[in-house]
Amino acid sequence: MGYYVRKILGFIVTLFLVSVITFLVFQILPGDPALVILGVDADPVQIEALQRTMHVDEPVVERYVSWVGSALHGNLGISFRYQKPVSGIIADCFSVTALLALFTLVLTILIGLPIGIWLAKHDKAKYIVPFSLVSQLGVSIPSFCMGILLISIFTVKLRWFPSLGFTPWSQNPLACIKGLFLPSFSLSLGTSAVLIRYLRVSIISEQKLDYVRTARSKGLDENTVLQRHVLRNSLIPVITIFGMLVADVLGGSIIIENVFSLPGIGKLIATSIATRDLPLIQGLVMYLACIVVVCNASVDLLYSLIDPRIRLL
Amino acid sequence: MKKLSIVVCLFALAISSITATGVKEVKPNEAMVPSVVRTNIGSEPDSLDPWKSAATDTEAIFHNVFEGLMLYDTNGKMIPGLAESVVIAPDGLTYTFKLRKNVLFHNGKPFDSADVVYTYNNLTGMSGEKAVSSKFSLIKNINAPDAYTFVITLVEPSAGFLSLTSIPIVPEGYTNQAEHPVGTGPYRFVEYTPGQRIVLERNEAYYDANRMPKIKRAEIYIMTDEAAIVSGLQSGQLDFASITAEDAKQLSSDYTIYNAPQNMVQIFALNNEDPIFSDVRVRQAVNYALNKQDVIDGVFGGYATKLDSNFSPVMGMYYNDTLSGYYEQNLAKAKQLLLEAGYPNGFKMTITVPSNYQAHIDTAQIFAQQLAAIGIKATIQPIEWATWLDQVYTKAQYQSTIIGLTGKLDPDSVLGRYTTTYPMNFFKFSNARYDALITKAKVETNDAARISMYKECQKILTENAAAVYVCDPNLTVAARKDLKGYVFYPVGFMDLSTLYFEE
Amino acid sequence: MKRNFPLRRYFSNIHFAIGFYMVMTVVSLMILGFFYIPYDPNAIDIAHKLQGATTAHILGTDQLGRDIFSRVLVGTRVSLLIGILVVGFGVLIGTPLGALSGYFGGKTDEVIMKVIDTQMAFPGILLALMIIAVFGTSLQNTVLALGLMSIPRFTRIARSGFMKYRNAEFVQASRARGASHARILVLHILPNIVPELLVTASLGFASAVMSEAGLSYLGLGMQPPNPSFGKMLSEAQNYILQAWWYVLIPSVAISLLVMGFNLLGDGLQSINQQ
Repeated sequence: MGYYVRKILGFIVTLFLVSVITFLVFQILPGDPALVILGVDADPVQIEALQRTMHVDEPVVERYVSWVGSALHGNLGISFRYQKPVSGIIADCFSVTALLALFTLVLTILIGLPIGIWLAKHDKAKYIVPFSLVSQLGVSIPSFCMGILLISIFTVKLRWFPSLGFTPWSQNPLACIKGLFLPSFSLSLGTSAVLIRYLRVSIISEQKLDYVRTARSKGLDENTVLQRHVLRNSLIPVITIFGMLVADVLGGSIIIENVFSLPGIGKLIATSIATRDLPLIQGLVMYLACIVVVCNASVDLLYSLIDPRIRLL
Repeated sequence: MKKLSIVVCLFALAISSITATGVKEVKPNEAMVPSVVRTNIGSEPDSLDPWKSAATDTEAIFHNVFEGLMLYDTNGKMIPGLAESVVIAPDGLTYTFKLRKNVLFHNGKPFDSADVVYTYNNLTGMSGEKAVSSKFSLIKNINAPDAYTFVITLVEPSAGFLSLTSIPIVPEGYTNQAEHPVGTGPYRFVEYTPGQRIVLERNEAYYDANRMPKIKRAEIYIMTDEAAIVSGLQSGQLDFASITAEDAKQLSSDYTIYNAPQNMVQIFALNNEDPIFSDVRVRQAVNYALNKQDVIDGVFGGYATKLDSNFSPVMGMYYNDTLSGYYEQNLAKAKQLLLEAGYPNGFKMTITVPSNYQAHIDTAQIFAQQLAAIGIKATIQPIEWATWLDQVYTKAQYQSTIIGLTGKLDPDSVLGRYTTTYPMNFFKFSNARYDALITKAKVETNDAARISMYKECQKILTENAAAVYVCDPNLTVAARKDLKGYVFYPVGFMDLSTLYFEE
Repeated sequence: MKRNFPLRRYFSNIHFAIGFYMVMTVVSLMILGFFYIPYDPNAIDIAHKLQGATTAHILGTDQLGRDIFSRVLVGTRVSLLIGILVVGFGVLIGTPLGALSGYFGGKTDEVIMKVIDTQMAFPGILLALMIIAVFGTSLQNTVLALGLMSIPRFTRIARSGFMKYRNAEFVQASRARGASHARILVLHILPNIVPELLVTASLGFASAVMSEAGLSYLGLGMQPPNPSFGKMLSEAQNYILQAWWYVLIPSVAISLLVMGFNLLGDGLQSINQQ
């Protein structure tokens, strides 16, 4: 009980600190949101009118307190840039990013799990070297190049997948999958490389443990040992990595979203900073902090499911 | 391991099934004439509400949705729009607009003088609310004698006033423009998904048969990545798009390339109040040190018009063509001027450039090298756009910068930037004769006299080297071969109504 | 054939060996750059822009006609310098924080970890954009931004290491002999976690190179005209149709560095575990 209370309290402190820092930084950052939105051709009257909606002239402390007040009621305010409620804008972008993360996750498992296990089973240099080199390529090619490469092969040459725009799942699931396949594939090349690396190391070190030897000596065949015992236990460190990867993808990738013209969280972060959209960036920072916490909590939960010895104290 | 191989097989199957159905959908159907035209826009609209929007990009799209009393043609000449005709009284103060009948707003509401009165009441602040724009302060009063007549009386004559009447007319009492814009244009607004796209559809009830769109639907994708735009074109996901001149050269065999000056002046601005650049000789020296052709060839692929005036030739009769070639690169002269100004060994300076414009950054790199030849050491400082607007544009805390300013129909709104009293005169140019000329030209109703005044203004700017006027980069548009009818306007307007697919 | 034992141990690890040679390829380019650069890397020559490989320009020229090979030679210097400084920043600030946190535990740990958590909850790119928006673009600010981002990983590694050893027998023994905390921290525990820190540093180097490319993509990397791999890539990306090699060259350079350091890190890790 005390454990949860402390965790939650800690989380609230983090949220508080993050929001204060963001607020302060935005006081230092040069730039007037109204001017950024309207640009160099703006009429002074228009700028004034827009500024009035932003309440930027009120004292900082007052604005922060009123923001906290409404945030506690679940109201994150109105975005300067879009003149719409922040929560709605984030929710829209989240629906894209969440699907992207889900597809990336699925692809990562589909690519990473079999290869990682296979490599652990065949722990020989002649297999490992080519595989790890190829999988390392996934993390080391700049995402812009990877994106453009995939687009020029699969969109321009083969015309298998579209490369721009996003179709919501509810509108057309197939079109949705097709639209998100290339971006999630290019993201999953990186994440599955990480997964493969950790899975292999984890399985190999697990196999050296006593209970595996015992199981083997009992005459269980290799695959059973692997599936029943080793895999289960070696998943624990892998899940930690997974939690981090998911949190990463949910944080949005500006470059991938730009290259594939997806309206996701990454692009939203970039826009909100570029336009000095304080309410929106505050909302986003809160969102990102929550993502990290939720992912960590899910990882803890998964631990206890896989290995009942680990209790959620 | 069997399970794993099954998983892998399923995965492969899943991919192939997705792709198998994909082939047909993505490929444009060649047998039929498409009913949708797809293009891109480089930035998100600032606001859908015309009263709250100022960005050129937004205007370029939404000029398809909204119309003013007057419209402009491809030469920038004012032509009747929602007004069938306009009569200007001999004193130049009273404008009588005869309004078009049988015009419907996109929401079905019939258009009449009440809407015009509503619009102009808000624009001028006569409604009791704050004025929506400062440009209409010269209106003394407005009235509508009947449902299809609208009369404006000005405080003083203004030759540039008519070009202001291209401002959108909105339906009386409709306040949801920011969410769902309603105008009278050839296309009506359907949807806008932030970060993604704007969709417009043909206004079937459009009054002018000549401007009735041929294409039923237009999808405008918000795309910023140059490479993504090009691959969008190549994969047939975009029907036309504005691209760089360099890319256009590569695509020219498979696409129709439209290429024309866009009436944007790329300016290398020198802060006239800077201790170094306050000396006109230093500014002139900088002008003589630079070779603009290198920028045109290096940054804009050769597709740009070299300038020595703050106007692009697109401004037509207002453009002062005698200035062309005023500053040709002449290092000896540049050095001489520097010597006279007391900088025999040059000096150090900073070029502040907005980091989101690679073209301006590249220009800065070329200029930095050329300036080195006369001993000026230039450092390039890229800053974020928001910071640029704040530090450079608003506060004029900079030494030099490179920026493109778009042209307007009314020369006053371009040249007015250099007047001493203009709040955003970031050039910090101040010249009494210039200010007087601008004020005089505003009320001059004789066209010839007015034109010569504006030409004189350009001459003052160039002679005083208010800035370095570099070039007007072309707007390059690549369109698939069967898409025809793209036209250029002297201001940013992407006219969708003229486009059609060849059968 | 007597060779230095530990070195052989390192090079018998295939990942370490490959990673090492990849990094050395880039390093040798850098060293070459100190002695020989064919052209001024910032010299603009519009007439010869976007040329393919010729005998005059062995890697071709960029959008302003600058020699790509010369820019690569100088860019190597900049990219490696950024990597080293960023990792140095992370190590110098992150490790002591983690050490204090892990060794003393309790309140100290709680405060430090709260700060680190807060920083981690803050999106890295946001932090970088803020620093650059406030202080401007320059090498120093790029390093500052990326360095700040790299602190948590070092803190976490150091913390878990120091936590593991704080009650180890050899630590208790020296404590009993009256050794100061500082002495225990630096002389007794730190050497034990150096291998893990090396792994982290190696991976941190890779991610610094990658993040620099990301910042450059957003137009906020190095100050032009100076080249870095990220800057070159971001300048090249608009010319992918006309000059694919121009995009390829910085990409390969980035990949070599990132992959090299990642493999080094992997190799070090498995050597540590042996």
